[in-house]
Order: sequence, then structure tokens, then C-alpha cells
Amino acid sequence: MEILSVKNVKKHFGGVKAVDGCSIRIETGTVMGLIGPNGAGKTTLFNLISGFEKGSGEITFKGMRTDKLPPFKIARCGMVRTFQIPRALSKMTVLENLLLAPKTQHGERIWNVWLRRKSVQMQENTIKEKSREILEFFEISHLEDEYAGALSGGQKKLLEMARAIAIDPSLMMLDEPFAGVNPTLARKITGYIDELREGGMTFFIIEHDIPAITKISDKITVMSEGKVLTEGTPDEIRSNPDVLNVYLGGEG
Amino acid sequence: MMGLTGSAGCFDAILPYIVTILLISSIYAIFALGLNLEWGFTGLLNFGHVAFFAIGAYTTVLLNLWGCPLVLSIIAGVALAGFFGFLLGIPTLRLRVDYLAIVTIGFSEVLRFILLNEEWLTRGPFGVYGFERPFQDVIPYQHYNTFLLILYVAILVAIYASLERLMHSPWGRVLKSIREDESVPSALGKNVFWYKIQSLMLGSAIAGLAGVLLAFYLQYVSPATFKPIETFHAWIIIILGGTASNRGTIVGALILWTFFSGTKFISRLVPLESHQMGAFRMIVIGLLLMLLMMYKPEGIFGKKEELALSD
Amino acid sequence: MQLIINGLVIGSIIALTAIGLSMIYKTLNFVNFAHGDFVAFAAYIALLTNVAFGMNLAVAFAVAILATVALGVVVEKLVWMPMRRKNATQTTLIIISIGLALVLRNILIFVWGGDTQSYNIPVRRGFDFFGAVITPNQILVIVTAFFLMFLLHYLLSRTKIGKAMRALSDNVDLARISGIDTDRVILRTWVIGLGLAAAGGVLYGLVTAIRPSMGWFLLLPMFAAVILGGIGNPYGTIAGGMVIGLSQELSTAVLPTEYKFAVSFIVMTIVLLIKPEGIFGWVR
Repeated sequence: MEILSVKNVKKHFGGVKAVDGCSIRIETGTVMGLIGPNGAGKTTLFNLISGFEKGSGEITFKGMRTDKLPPFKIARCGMVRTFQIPRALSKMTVLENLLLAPKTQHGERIWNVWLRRKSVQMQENTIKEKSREILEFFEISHLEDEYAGALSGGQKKLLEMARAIAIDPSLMMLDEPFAGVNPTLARKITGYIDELREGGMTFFIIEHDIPAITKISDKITVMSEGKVLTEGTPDEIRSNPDVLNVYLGGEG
Repeated sequence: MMGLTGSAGCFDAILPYIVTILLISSIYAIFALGLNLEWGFTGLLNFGHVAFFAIGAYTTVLLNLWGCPLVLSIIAGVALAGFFGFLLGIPTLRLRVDYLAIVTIGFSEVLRFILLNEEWLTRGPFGVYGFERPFQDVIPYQHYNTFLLILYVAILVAIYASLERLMHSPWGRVLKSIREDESVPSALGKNVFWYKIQSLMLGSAIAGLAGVLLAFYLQYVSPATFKPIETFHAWIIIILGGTASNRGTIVGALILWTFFSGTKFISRLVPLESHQMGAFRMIVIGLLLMLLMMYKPEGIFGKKEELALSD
Repeated sequence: MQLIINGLVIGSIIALTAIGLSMIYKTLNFVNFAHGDFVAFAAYIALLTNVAFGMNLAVAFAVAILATVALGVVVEKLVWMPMRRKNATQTTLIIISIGLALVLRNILIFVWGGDTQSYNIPVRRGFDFFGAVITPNQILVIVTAFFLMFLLHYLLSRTKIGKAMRALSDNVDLARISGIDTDRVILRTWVIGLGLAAAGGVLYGLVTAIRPSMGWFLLLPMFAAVILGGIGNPYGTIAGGMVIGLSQELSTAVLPTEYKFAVSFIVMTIVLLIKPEGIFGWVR
């Protein structure tokens, strides 16, 4: 079953064609990798899908057209994305960062803070428990009360992922989750992605770390100069000479 | 024996001054708490806060003069202030920080021009007086200020408690996330624009309430009461007390007005003319603002880690 | 016609003073709310030189410019540069500039009081011009303003300093990497910007009453001119300034005079909402 469909999406910045007619389809419960040289348009594509940028073309998520919706509405449909450089909210604690995520918190409506005090409190307790479980899953429980600004780069990456999971999405779009991350941590992250995929979550992952991405992906899309170059299973991609060219030629 | 009655007499003389300082501090504390919600907790750079001070005051007194019962007038004043916050927010909250600052200051100045010029509505520079005050028939005149003080402090405590509750709620959490980086709550599905509007509306309504309280205390409102400098009084209060610290805001208000009143005392001893004393006060305030922002932006009660003031 | 003349006069003043604001905005990336008070400061120094020391206006003009620029340099060294080192955010700088504005304005009140003053110059009769009156002062303002703007154009387009400033205003990081000493260029930006603002201030004093709040009142029209012209674009600012000045004066034909400033506010807000890069961005 298809969860995300991107049809002929384009985004031009003046004369620069960042994304020039991309079409991709992702099946539910799979991991789709997205690779390509720098400047191929991968992050722009993510921005277009998650609504942070607007361009032309059709984007359908869970059967609904989302290309004209603002980012927060798209997120509410069940899509979440992380950022290349983790955007941890450094002036809030790690736990607070996670508590921000879950959807439909009654307490987020101002009148409920007084009118439905008990229900809000109960919900707070529930999501606190859930958040603590997620922190444990990522093995950063001990950082619960630290201000996120004090975390190391790798920890911030984990926090970014943890927060994305806390929203309980159907589709998780990760932008370079392995960048700058040591091999042990990378293996952990791979393990989490596998576990979550077993649970039915779909992943769309931008990565430069080719060994890592080929290990966890069911399928990989290769982008170059704003267009989709080719698509296929990791084995097909690995043995495709065009892909090699694009990397060697592009990164000089 | 003589010493006791002497000191009691001295106390009686000082008491009205203390009541005055506390009264004005409470009014400005409420005013500044509204701004603290907008800036300290949500990160909105609102330089037009005084406009809502004015709207609350003017609406209430004018309605009352035209025959509207006092309670309704007060509610209308506060509500209209909040509504204007909404009106201002719709076009401007999408602007970036610096543009927001300029537009909000323009807004408050244009409002002041309207207050000055539309005499048929607002009596222009002559100001408005003769309106009712709460319970003024019941409380004897010499105790009225004390009554106001008790009333205003009670209101201040109520607002403080409500704001504290709000800021520790999930709603407050969303505001804090917006303050730091809008894209995060947006990516998590929060309607950032709507939250900003709510913050601006509530902050403006609180400012409107403060305006009403000021009107009752002064028994007179005029456009001169609502110059841009009042906005910056609120700014210095929240920065001095510690941005995003409601407790700090209240303390900041107290310190500021004690300072202002204190300098009035000194001016009797020092051979300066009144305009010079006023100017001297403002020079101190301006310097304080600069030095605070340069060297101790977290103020008295603020937490350094929570500051969104330097990268 | 009278309105057009008045509009040209105030427009040239706004244009002249706003150039500095625009350049600083672009180069240092913050809105200097104290800019108006530097303008007022210049007028007062000219007043001091002219009235208290009995010098003629030309000398007063020069002294005012020097004094204002000197003050600006002191503030740059004591305040802005250390804040740049600390990576202060734009908001911090904005609030600091508010404090500075308060200090400056109140120093003026402290020393000179709040009453209006004027230069000690002979009052001369105006000429008849297409049915309206134009005074020699007004002519002086327009001519001087345009002369200075022309000088600026020469500076920006021909000299090395000018080129460096334009590079910096286009892209700060790139400029730094190319070996341009950013602090020096910033200093020069202050000097030129404040110099022009000071000139504008002295000229402003020729055509209006000198009061401590004169600078603050000019601030909103200046912002409007800057935004209209596109931040950092001096030529756009000049065009913007003229437009604002003219529209303010012409508006008095239909609106009560006190709403003049509301005009700049409305124009500015509309531009910000529709085309924030400014209408005159193409004027280069």
C-alpha cells in the first residue's frame, strides 16, 4: 500500500533548478533511502514534501493531497521530518523537548488549562511516561532534565529522532541521521529503525553514508541535479554504473 | 513618649507615598506581565504595548461617561484591547522580528495621533475625566487609594497565578518552543501562527486591564499618558526583573517606581529643574537598559539557559 | 504647489538621513532606533555652535557633522563592537539602541530643555515660485542634500572604500573571507552614514523648530523610506525618502495635518506586507 506519492515536483530558486521534476513512490512499512551528491536537491525535496517549501507538482500522503498545506497541517497527518543539523530546543530540557511532540494534547488549548484541569493533568502523566520509555529506548534517560543545549552533537541527533518518534508518525523522514555519528551509535540507530519498521512505520532517509543506507533500505532512490536518476533495491543501485559516475563526477 | 508619637506622625506622612508607589507598581506590574507573556515566553518583539494600555483605559472611561454601567465598561475595555491585539497580529505576526518592532511602534504612535485628534470621540488633548470609579460611593475618599491598592494587588496576584499556571501547562510549552525556533513546533504539527496570536491577544488584554486600573487611579486619561515611553517602561521592567520570569517582572516594577519616586524626593535637595530631573531619570533608565542588555541580560531572576537573547 | 515644495524639502531631509540608517541596517543587521536622536544631536550641536559661540552656519554645519560622527565612533567602539564579538542577537542590539535613544534624547533635554529653539540666522523672505512661496532656507536644504547625495554616489561607485562597503553589504561572510577588514568597513559605514544623518539634522533645523523629540519624529518616516527603497540600497532609500516626503505633505490636502506620520506608517506597512524587499530595489 502506498503511503507517499510524489509526482513531478519542481522547485526553482530564480535560475537554479533545485528540484526539477521528481517522482517517487513509497510503500507503507518500508525504508526508502535517498542518496545523491551534494546539491542534488535531496533536502529541498524533503522541504517540499514536509511543506516547508512550496513548489509545483503533486504530493499525496495517505491518499490526501498535501502540496498546498502548511507544514503543521502536514505534520498532523502523520508525517514528521528531522533536520540535517539537529534543531534541539536548547532552552528547554530534554524531557520537555519530547513532551512537546505528542498530538492532540488537550492542555495545548488555552481554555482547557482551566476548564479540563484533571484531564490535562492525566494526559500529561501519560505522555510523560511514554516519553520516558522513548528516552530509555534511546538510552538517554539520564539526560532527562538537562537543557538540550548542553547535549553533545550525537546526543542531539538522538533527541531529534526521539522527538520525532514521540509524535507517533506514520512516515518518518530523516535527514542524514548518521552524519557525524560514531559507528557504535550508528549501529544503534540502525537497530531502532529496524525495530520501528517491524512495528509498521515507514521511513524515508537521506544519507551520504552509503554502507549504512544500503544495509537498512528496502529501496533506494538516487537523485542528481534535481532529478531522479534511478531507483531500485540496494543491490541494483550498488552495481549501477550511472550511480558511480554521478558520485565520482559530482564530487570531484 | 514624644519619640513614639513623633515617629507615628512621620509614618502617617510617608504612608500615602508608600501607597502610591505600591499602587503604581501594581499597575505597571500587570502591564509588564502582559508584555512578558508576549516577549519573555513567546519571543514576540512588541514595541507598541502602550497602545493596548490606552485602548483599555479609553474604552472603559468613554463607555462609562456615555452611560454604560461600570462593570460592562471594564469588560468592554479589556476585551477591546485584546481584540485590537488580534487585529494587529493578523497582518504583522508573519513579519520578521525587526519589521515587527517597527510596525508595532508605528501602530502605537498612530493610535496616539488618533486619540489626540479625534476630539469628538476622545476629547483630544484635553483628556477625559469625571467617570465613575468602582465603589466610589461606598468607600470614603481618604481611604479610597488604600482600597484601590488592596484591589489592585489582589488582581495582580490573580493574574500572576494564572500566568504561572499557563506557562507550566502544555500551552505554555508550545509558546516556549516558538520563542526559540518556530520550525520545530511547526514540524511537530503545532499551528504556530495561531499560538502567537493567542499570546498577543492575551498580553494585550492584560495591558488593557492595566490601563483601566490606571484610569481609576489617575481619575483622568489623556493621550499624553500613553506615549511610547510607557512601552519602554514595561520593557525595562521585564528585562530588569528577568525576561520570562513573572516574579521578576513584579519585582522589576517595584524597583522602577521606587526609583522614580525616590528621585522625586532627591530633586528637592538637588538644584536641578524639574525637566532636568525628568531627563536625568530617563538617562539612568536608558543606561540601565543598555548595560543590562550588554552584560546581564538575564536580569535579576532570569535563567541564563532560558535566554533567547544571545546565540 | 506649496505642498510639493514642502514635500521636496522634507523628502530630501528624510532621504539624506535615512541613507545612514539603511546602510547600518544592512551591514550590521539591526535596526538602529537611536538614529533619529543622532540627527537631533547634530541639530543641537549646530545650534550650540551658532547661537552660543556665534559662528556662522557653515561652521556650525561642519562642527555638527564632526561631533556627531565622533559620538558615533565612540558608541561603535564601546557598544556595538563588543556586542558583535559576543554574537549578540539582532533583538539585543535593537533593545540596546532603544536605550541609547533614550539616553541621547534626554541628554538633549537635560542640557537644553524641552522648549523649541532655532538657529541665529537672518530671516529672509521667500521667493514666489509658480504660485507658491519657497524660502532660501528651503532651497539651501534641497541643494545641499542633493549635493551630498551626489558625493555619496561618487564615493560608492568610484572609490575603494565604496566598493568594500558594497561588498560587505552584499554578503558579510564572503567579504570577510576575501580579506576585507570588516571592522574597518563597519567603522566607515558609521562615519558616512552618521555624517549624512548629521548633515540632514542641521538642515532639518533650518526648516523646523529644534526640539529634543525632532529625531524620534523623523524615525518613522526614515524607516518607511528605508523599507520602501530596500534595506541597504542607498539609492532606493533616496527615492523612498522623496516619495515619503512628498506623500506626507500632499496628504495634508485631504487629511488633517497631524496624520502626516500616519501616512508613512501606512505606506510602510503596506510595502512590508506585499513586497518586503522594497519597491525601489531596482534603483541601483
